[in-house]
Amino acid sequence: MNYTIRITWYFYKSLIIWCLLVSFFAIYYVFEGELNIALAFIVKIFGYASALGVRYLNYNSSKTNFYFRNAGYSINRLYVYTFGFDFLIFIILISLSTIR
Amino acid sequence: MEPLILKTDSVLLEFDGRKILQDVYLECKQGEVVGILGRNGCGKSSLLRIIFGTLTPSYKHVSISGEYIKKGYKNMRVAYLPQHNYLPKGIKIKNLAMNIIDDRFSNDLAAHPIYRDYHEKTIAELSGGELRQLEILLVIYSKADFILLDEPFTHISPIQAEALKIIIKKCAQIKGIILTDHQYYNILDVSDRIILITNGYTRPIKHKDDLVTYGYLSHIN
Repeated sequence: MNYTIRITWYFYKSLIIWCLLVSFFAIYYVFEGELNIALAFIVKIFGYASALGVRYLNYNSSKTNFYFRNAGYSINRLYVYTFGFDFLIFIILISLSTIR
Repeated sequence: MEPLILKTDSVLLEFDGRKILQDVYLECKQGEVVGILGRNGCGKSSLLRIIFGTLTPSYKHVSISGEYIKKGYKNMRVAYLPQHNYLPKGIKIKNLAMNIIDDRFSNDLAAHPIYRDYHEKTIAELSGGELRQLEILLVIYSKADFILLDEPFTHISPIQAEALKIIIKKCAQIKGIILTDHQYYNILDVSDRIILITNGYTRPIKHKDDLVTYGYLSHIN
Protein backbone atom coordinates (compact mmCIF):
# COMPACT_ATOMS: atom_id res chain seq x y z
CA MET A 1 0.00 0.00 0.00
CA ASN A 2 2.84 2.37 0.86
CA TYR A 3 4.27 1.60 -2.55
CA THR A 4 1.04 2.63 -4.28
CA ILE A 5 0.80 5.82 -2.21
CA ARG A 6 4.39 6.73 -3.06
CA ILE A 7 3.94 6.13 -6.80
CA THR A 8 0.62 8.02 -6.79
CA TRP A 9 2.29 10.94 -5.02
CA TYR A 10 5.06 11.10 -7.65
CA PHE A 11 2.40 11.08 -10.36
CA TYR A 12 0.31 13.69 -8.54
CA LYS A 13 3.34 16.03 -8.35
CA SER A 14 3.12 16.57 -12.11
CA LEU A 15 -0.48 17.84 -11.70
CA ILE A 16 -0.53 19.30 -8.23
CA ILE A 17 -0.13 22.98 -9.19
CA TRP A 18 -2.95 22.81 -11.72
CA CYS A 19 -5.25 20.82 -9.43
CA LEU A 20 -4.70 23.16 -6.49
CA LEU A 21 -5.16 26.27 -8.64
CA VAL A 22 -8.56 25.01 -9.79
CA SER A 23 -9.47 24.06 -6.22
CA PHE A 24 -8.54 27.46 -4.79
CA PHE A 25 -10.34 29.23 -7.64
CA ALA A 26 -13.55 27.30 -6.93
CA ILE A 27 -13.23 27.62 -3.15
CA TYR A 28 -12.59 31.37 -3.38
CA TYR A 29 -15.79 31.98 -5.31
CA VAL A 30 -17.77 29.70 -2.99
CA PHE A 31 -16.38 31.63 -0.03
CA GLU A 32 -17.34 34.92 -1.71
CA GLY A 33 -20.83 33.53 -2.29
CA GLU A 34 -20.62 33.83 -6.08
CA LEU A 35 -20.60 30.09 -6.68
CA ASN A 36 -22.72 27.39 -5.10
CA ILE A 37 -21.28 24.01 -4.12
CA ALA A 38 -22.79 22.17 -7.11
CA LEU A 39 -21.20 24.62 -9.54
CA ALA A 40 -17.90 24.38 -7.67
CA PHE A 41 -17.94 20.60 -8.23
CA ILE A 42 -18.60 21.15 -11.92
CA VAL A 43 -15.66 23.58 -12.08
CA LYS A 44 -13.51 20.95 -10.39
CA ILE A 45 -14.57 18.28 -12.88
CA PHE A 46 -13.68 20.59 -15.76
CA GLY A 47 -10.40 21.14 -13.95
CA TYR A 48 -9.70 17.41 -14.13
CA ALA A 49 -10.51 17.33 -17.84
CA SER A 50 -8.11 20.21 -18.41
CA ALA A 51 -5.50 18.51 -16.20
CA LEU A 52 -5.52 15.59 -18.64
CA GLY A 53 -4.79 18.05 -21.43
CA VAL A 54 -2.13 19.90 -19.44
CA ARG A 55 -0.27 16.68 -18.73
CA TYR A 56 -0.67 15.40 -22.27
CA LEU A 57 0.70 18.63 -23.72
CA ASN A 58 3.57 18.69 -21.27
CA TYR A 59 6.13 16.72 -23.27
CA ASN A 60 8.20 15.62 -20.30
CA SER A 61 5.20 14.52 -18.30
CA SER A 62 3.97 12.15 -20.98
CA LYS A 63 7.49 10.76 -21.41
CA THR A 64 7.64 9.95 -17.71
CA ASN A 65 4.70 7.60 -18.15
CA PHE A 66 7.29 4.91 -18.82
CA TYR A 67 8.67 5.27 -15.29
CA PHE A 68 5.22 4.66 -13.81
CA ARG A 69 4.56 1.73 -16.12
CA ASN A 70 7.92 0.21 -15.20
CA ALA A 71 6.72 0.51 -11.61
CA GLY A 72 3.81 -1.72 -12.66
CA TYR A 73 1.02 0.87 -12.85
CA SER A 74 -1.18 1.85 -15.77
CA ILE A 75 -1.52 5.57 -16.33
CA ASN A 76 -5.34 5.41 -16.20
CA ARG A 77 -5.14 3.80 -12.76
CA LEU A 78 -2.83 6.54 -11.52
CA TYR A 79 -5.20 9.21 -12.83
CA VAL A 80 -8.04 7.58 -10.86
CA TYR A 81 -5.95 7.47 -7.65
CA THR A 82 -4.65 11.02 -8.16
CA PHE A 83 -8.00 12.62 -8.93
CA GLY A 84 -9.65 10.63 -6.14
CA PHE A 85 -7.10 11.91 -3.62
CA ASP A 86 -7.29 15.47 -4.96
CA PHE A 87 -11.09 15.42 -4.84
CA LEU A 88 -10.96 14.33 -1.21
CA ILE A 89 -8.74 17.32 -0.41
CA PHE A 90 -11.12 19.55 -2.35
CA ILE A 91 -14.14 18.32 -0.37
CA ILE A 92 -12.33 18.93 2.93
CA LEU A 93 -11.25 22.44 1.88
CA ILE A 94 -14.65 23.42 0.52
CA SER A 95 -16.33 22.11 3.68
CA LEU A 96 -14.01 24.24 5.80
CA SER A 97 -14.66 27.27 3.62
CA THR A 98 -18.42 27.03 4.13
CA ILE A 99 -18.12 27.03 7.95
CA ARG A 100 -18.83 30.60 8.97
CA MET B 1 12.57 -23.13 -10.40
CA GLU B 2 11.89 -23.41 -14.13
CA PRO B 3 12.97 -20.35 -16.11
CA LEU B 4 10.04 -18.32 -17.40
CA ILE B 5 9.61 -18.04 -21.17
CA LEU B 6 8.29 -14.91 -22.88
CA LYS B 7 6.68 -15.69 -26.23
CA THR B 8 5.46 -13.19 -28.77
CA ASP B 9 3.59 -14.64 -31.69
CA SER B 10 1.39 -13.68 -34.63
CA VAL B 11 1.95 -9.95 -34.36
CA LEU B 12 0.23 -7.91 -37.04
CA LEU B 13 1.00 -4.19 -37.00
CA GLU B 14 -0.24 -1.88 -39.75
CA PHE B 15 0.06 1.87 -40.28
CA ASP B 16 -2.13 3.39 -43.01
CA GLY B 17 -2.62 -0.03 -44.56
CA ARG B 18 1.12 -0.71 -44.69
CA LYS B 19 2.13 -3.83 -42.83
CA ILE B 20 5.07 -3.04 -40.54
CA LEU B 21 5.09 -6.37 -38.71
CA GLN B 22 3.20 -9.33 -40.08
CA ASP B 23 4.77 -12.62 -39.14
CA VAL B 24 6.63 -12.23 -35.91
CA TYR B 25 7.74 -14.94 -33.59
CA LEU B 26 10.01 -14.03 -30.72
CA GLU B 27 10.90 -16.15 -27.74
CA CYS B 28 13.10 -15.28 -24.79
CA LYS B 29 13.66 -17.29 -21.68
CA GLN B 30 15.13 -16.17 -18.39
CA GLY B 31 18.86 -16.65 -18.58
CA GLU B 32 19.37 -15.42 -22.13
CA VAL B 33 19.90 -12.23 -24.09
CA VAL B 34 18.09 -11.92 -27.40
CA GLY B 35 19.28 -9.22 -29.78
CA ILE B 36 17.00 -7.72 -32.42
CA LEU B 37 18.50 -6.13 -35.49
CA GLY B 38 16.90 -4.44 -38.46
CA ARG B 39 16.95 -1.35 -40.59
CA ASN B 40 15.42 1.98 -39.58
CA GLY B 41 11.64 1.80 -39.48
CA CYS B 42 11.48 -1.99 -39.70
CA GLY B 43 9.49 -2.22 -36.45
CA LYS B 44 12.09 -3.08 -33.81
CA SER B 45 10.97 -0.46 -31.31
CA SER B 46 7.33 -1.10 -32.17
CA LEU B 47 7.77 -4.77 -31.37
CA LEU B 48 9.26 -3.95 -27.96
CA ARG B 49 6.42 -1.53 -27.23
CA ILE B 50 3.86 -4.16 -28.25
CA ILE B 51 5.38 -6.60 -25.76
CA PHE B 52 5.49 -3.91 -23.08
CA GLY B 53 1.85 -3.06 -23.75
CA THR B 54 2.03 0.57 -24.87
CA LEU B 55 1.40 -0.06 -28.56
CA THR B 56 -1.69 -1.95 -29.66
CA PRO B 57 -1.32 -3.82 -32.95
CA SER B 58 -4.11 -5.34 -35.05
CA TYR B 59 -3.26 -8.70 -33.54
CA LYS B 60 -0.76 -10.15 -31.09
CA HIS B 61 -0.29 -12.99 -28.70
CA VAL B 62 2.15 -12.39 -25.88
CA SER B 63 2.53 -14.91 -23.08
CA ILE B 64 4.85 -15.71 -20.20
CA SER B 65 5.16 -19.43 -19.64
CA GLY B 66 1.76 -19.99 -21.25
CA GLU B 67 -0.06 -17.22 -19.39
CA TYR B 68 -1.51 -14.63 -21.78
CA ILE B 69 -0.16 -11.14 -21.08
CA LYS B 70 -2.29 -8.23 -22.24
CA LYS B 71 0.07 -5.51 -21.02
CA GLY B 72 3.59 -6.56 -20.13
CA TYR B 73 4.15 -3.81 -17.59
CA LYS B 74 1.25 -4.83 -15.36
CA ASN B 75 2.44 -6.47 -12.15
CA MET B 76 5.99 -5.59 -13.22
CA ARG B 77 6.36 -8.62 -15.48
CA VAL B 78 8.20 -6.64 -18.16
CA ALA B 79 10.29 -3.45 -17.90
CA TYR B 80 11.14 -1.25 -20.87
CA LEU B 81 13.87 1.27 -21.60
CA PRO B 82 12.51 3.78 -24.14
CA GLN B 83 14.81 5.66 -26.49
CA HIS B 84 14.04 8.95 -24.78
CA ASN B 85 14.58 10.12 -21.18
CA TYR B 86 11.76 8.95 -18.96
CA LEU B 87 12.54 9.70 -15.31
CA PRO B 88 10.33 12.31 -13.59
CA LYS B 89 11.98 15.48 -12.34
CA GLY B 90 11.97 16.80 -8.79
CA ILE B 91 12.26 13.42 -7.05
CA LYS B 92 15.42 12.16 -5.37
CA ILE B 93 17.10 9.42 -7.36
CA LYS B 94 17.15 7.05 -4.39
CA ASN B 95 13.36 7.43 -4.08
CA LEU B 96 12.88 6.74 -7.79
CA ALA B 97 15.01 3.63 -7.47
CA MET B 98 13.38 2.40 -4.27
CA ASN B 99 10.10 1.69 -6.05
CA ILE B 100 11.37 -0.46 -8.84
CA ILE B 101 14.69 -2.10 -7.97
CA ASP B 102 14.99 -5.86 -7.51
CA ASP B 103 16.42 -6.58 -4.04
CA ARG B 104 18.85 -9.06 -5.61
CA PHE B 105 20.51 -6.17 -7.45
CA SER B 106 20.27 -3.41 -4.86
CA ASN B 107 23.95 -3.83 -3.87
CA ASP B 108 25.03 -3.72 -7.53
CA LEU B 109 23.10 -0.49 -8.02
CA ALA B 110 24.43 1.03 -4.80
CA ALA B 111 27.99 0.27 -5.89
CA HIS B 112 27.62 1.85 -9.31
CA PRO B 113 29.40 5.25 -9.47
CA ILE B 114 26.42 7.09 -10.97
CA TYR B 115 24.06 5.94 -8.23
CA ARG B 116 26.66 6.17 -5.48
CA ASP B 117 27.48 9.79 -6.33
CA TYR B 118 24.00 11.09 -7.12
CA HIS B 119 21.44 9.03 -5.20
CA GLU B 120 20.66 11.93 -2.84
CA LYS B 121 20.12 14.31 -5.77
CA THR B 122 17.49 14.71 -8.49
CA ILE B 123 17.99 14.01 -12.20
CA ALA B 124 18.38 17.75 -12.88
CA GLU B 125 21.91 17.49 -11.52
CA LEU B 126 23.01 14.76 -13.96
CA SER B 127 24.59 15.28 -17.37
CA GLY B 128 22.87 13.76 -20.39
CA GLY B 129 25.20 10.76 -20.45
CA GLU B 130 24.92 10.18 -16.71
CA LEU B 131 21.15 10.38 -16.87
CA ARG B 132 21.05 7.83 -19.66
CA GLN B 133 23.25 5.45 -17.69
CA LEU B 134 21.04 5.82 -14.63
CA GLU B 135 17.91 5.19 -16.69
CA ILE B 136 19.45 2.04 -18.13
CA LEU B 137 20.46 0.81 -14.66
CA LEU B 138 16.99 1.40 -13.20
CA VAL B 139 15.45 -0.73 -15.94
CA ILE B 140 18.04 -3.50 -15.95
CA TYR B 141 17.96 -3.83 -12.15
CA SER B 142 14.16 -3.60 -11.95
CA LYS B 143 11.95 -6.27 -10.42
CA ALA B 144 10.59 -7.33 -13.82
CA ASP B 145 11.13 -10.88 -15.08
CA PHE B 146 11.93 -9.62 -18.58
CA ILE B 147 13.81 -6.51 -19.61
CA LEU B 148 13.37 -4.74 -22.95
CA LEU B 149 16.12 -2.30 -23.93
CA ASP B 150 15.58 0.04 -26.85
CA GLU B 151 18.92 1.46 -27.99
CA PRO B 152 20.81 1.13 -24.69
CA PHE B 153 24.20 1.73 -26.34
CA THR B 154 23.20 5.01 -27.95
CA HIS B 155 24.31 8.18 -26.12
CA ILE B 156 26.90 6.41 -24.00
CA SER B 157 30.64 6.21 -24.56
CA PRO B 158 32.43 3.04 -25.77
CA ILE B 159 33.91 2.38 -22.34
CA GLN B 160 30.48 2.75 -20.75
CA ALA B 161 29.07 0.40 -23.39
CA GLU B 162 31.64 -2.23 -22.40
CA ALA B 163 30.66 -1.85 -18.74
CA LEU B 164 26.98 -2.05 -19.68
CA LYS B 165 27.51 -5.32 -21.52
CA ILE B 166 28.96 -6.85 -18.35
CA ILE B 167 25.93 -5.67 -16.37
CA ILE B 168 23.55 -7.06 -19.00
CA LYS B 169 25.27 -10.45 -18.96
CA LYS B 170 25.14 -10.62 -15.17
CA CYS B 171 21.51 -9.60 -15.05
CA ALA B 172 20.68 -12.15 -17.75
CA GLN B 173 21.69 -14.94 -15.41
CA ILE B 174 18.27 -14.63 -13.79
CA LYS B 175 16.22 -12.49 -16.20
CA GLY B 176 15.36 -12.58 -19.87
CA ILE B 177 16.65 -9.62 -21.83
CA ILE B 178 15.60 -8.45 -25.28
CA LEU B 179 17.49 -5.53 -26.74
CA THR B 180 17.90 -3.64 -29.97
CA ASP B 181 20.36 -1.02 -31.16
CA HIS B 182 21.91 0.24 -34.37
CA GLN B 183 25.34 -0.46 -32.89
CA TYR B 184 25.05 -4.02 -34.20
CA TYR B 185 28.54 -5.02 -33.03
CA ASN B 186 27.49 -4.42 -29.42
CA ILE B 187 24.31 -6.42 -29.99
CA LEU B 188 26.27 -9.28 -31.58
CA ASP B 189 28.71 -9.16 -28.69
CA VAL B 190 26.23 -9.32 -25.83
CA SER B 191 23.45 -11.51 -27.30
CA ASP B 192 23.02 -15.25 -27.03
CA ARG B 193 20.68 -15.24 -30.03
CA ILE B 194 20.05 -12.75 -32.82
CA ILE B 195 16.75 -12.08 -34.56
CA LEU B 196 16.63 -9.95 -37.69
CA ILE B 197 13.46 -8.11 -38.64
CA THR B 198 13.20 -7.68 -42.38
CA ASN B 199 10.11 -6.91 -44.46
CA GLY B 200 7.96 -7.36 -41.36
CA TYR B 201 9.21 -10.88 -40.67
CA THR B 202 11.48 -12.14 -37.90
CA ARG B 203 14.36 -14.30 -39.04
CA PRO B 204 16.67 -16.13 -36.65
CA ILE B 205 20.32 -15.44 -37.46
CA LYS B 206 22.45 -18.55 -37.18
CA HIS B 207 25.64 -17.03 -38.49
CA LYS B 208 26.91 -13.49 -38.99
CA ASP B 209 26.98 -14.12 -42.74
CA ASP B 210 23.17 -14.30 -42.65
CA LEU B 211 23.15 -10.55 -41.93
CA VAL B 212 24.79 -9.98 -45.31
CA THR B 213 22.51 -12.50 -47.01
CA TYR B 214 19.42 -10.69 -45.74
CA GLY B 215 20.85 -7.31 -46.73
CA TYR B 216 21.33 -5.87 -43.24
CA LEU B 217 25.10 -5.59 -43.63
CA SER B 218 27.10 -5.10 -46.82
CA HIS B 219 30.00 -7.11 -45.46
CA ILE B 220 31.33 -8.67 -42.28
CA ASN B 221 34.47 -7.16 -40.77
